[in-house]
Amino acid sequence: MADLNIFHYWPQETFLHRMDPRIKLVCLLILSITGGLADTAPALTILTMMVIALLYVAKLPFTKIMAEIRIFLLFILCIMLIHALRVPGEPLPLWAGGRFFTREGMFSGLFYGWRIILLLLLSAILTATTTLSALREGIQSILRPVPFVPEEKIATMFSLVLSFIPLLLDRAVEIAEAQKARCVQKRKNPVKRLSCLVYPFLSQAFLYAEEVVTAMEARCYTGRRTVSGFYLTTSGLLCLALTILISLVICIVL
Amino acid sequence: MTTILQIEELTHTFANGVTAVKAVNLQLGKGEFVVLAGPNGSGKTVLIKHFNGLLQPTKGRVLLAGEPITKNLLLARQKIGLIFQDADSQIVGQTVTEDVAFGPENLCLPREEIRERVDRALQAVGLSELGHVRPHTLSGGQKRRLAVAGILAMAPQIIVFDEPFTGLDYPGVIQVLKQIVDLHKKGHTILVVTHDLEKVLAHADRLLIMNEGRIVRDGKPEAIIDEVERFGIKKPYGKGRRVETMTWLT
Repeated sequence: MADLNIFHYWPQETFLHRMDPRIKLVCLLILSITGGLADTAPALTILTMMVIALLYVAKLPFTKIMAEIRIFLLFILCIMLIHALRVPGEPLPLWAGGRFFTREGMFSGLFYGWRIILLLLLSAILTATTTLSALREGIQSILRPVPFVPEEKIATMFSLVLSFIPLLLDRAVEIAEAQKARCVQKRKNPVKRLSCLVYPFLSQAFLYAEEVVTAMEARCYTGRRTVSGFYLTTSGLLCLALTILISLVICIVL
Repeated sequence: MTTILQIEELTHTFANGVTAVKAVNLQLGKGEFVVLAGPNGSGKTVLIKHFNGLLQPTKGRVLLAGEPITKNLLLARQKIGLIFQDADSQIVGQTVTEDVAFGPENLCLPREEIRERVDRALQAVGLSELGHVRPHTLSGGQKRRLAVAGILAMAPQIIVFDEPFTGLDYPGVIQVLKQIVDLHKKGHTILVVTHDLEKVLAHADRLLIMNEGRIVRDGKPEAIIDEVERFGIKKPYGKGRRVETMTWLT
């Protein structure tokens, strides 16, 4: 399970890997907002094509990333279902659940699911093409001008979260298996079953966090760290301009 | 032998009233190889966490090269490298290289020097080929060696290993033990906290036994080895077995 993590750096020699992390972060922000505003199929299709092109340029394993997105499938389905239920409009035929679902609700749910998948893929592209230290420094550099924001702490927390997702998943699987070995499936109440999993998971996660903090302090962590200077390149700026242009086309024209 | 680390009357009482370490006095000489043994809950880990100020003593003090470590905690943490029992919790990078660079980055060293230190440290532990690998996918022995590299990159004088052999298979133990012995040969002062005297004692100049928060024995391994079972530590198997044979390195 430690190997299963779409938000992980994939070392490659590509233009995207070399790009200034600040540009990548700003592009991700712009494209995420664009994805949120896009509410037509052509707009989302253009965005999807762009994401596929980025995956290709970054030489990332498309099928593996898509396979790992399945972890989020339940979450995405829940969001789609909630939308399909709460948006009013023309009812669907009875055989398609017309008593509960509307045509508009179904499309709204589909679009939401589509947007979430795009957002996940964009985030995966960012983390796959940027090392954690570059990402941390990029976030730090972007947040530095913002007053009253502890940019070093935020950047470190962000990089630690990404680093520990696979380990926490590992621990959750271990706990679930240990409980299966003690016949937890015999309990019919799903809330009780969930609480059996959540309580040990959280207590282990907090203990683990404490150990990590101690280990970081032992390695002189104070918040202040070496900072590499970033230089804006023409290709990076062109990429940013292209992202803005595509976003404007999607938001205004489509 | 020059004293490098000195512990004076160190006592640590936790907020719940439990005293884990009681008036410990200890000196570590430059270049020594010391094994600290004791049963679970005897206060070994609590004691070593005071060496670089991760815990503050309730009473007493810790001196590094004659100066209280509280004067410059960062220097103490740089000079005294602690390698904990759970290697996973020490990994903070997404790749092996990034993880080793964590310490030097915290020292705010220039990028070029960080790169050199990381290369040297990875070479020293034999992980140069795995620089781009995700640390969490390494084997147990490799993770311990990565933890050693992370400490080596900070150029410490003293390296403290807390239960370095726990959970490792035979090849893993050999890898880590070789590493420890090599580091000692290169001039580092080594303190190994362990129950497994059989694996490492032959390399030690000195054996410390800790029990109920106190150091109850301190001396040459051959002078103390016959008493260890009184304090809940397994004496390596074999009647009349000599200390020189207590190693897994052949």
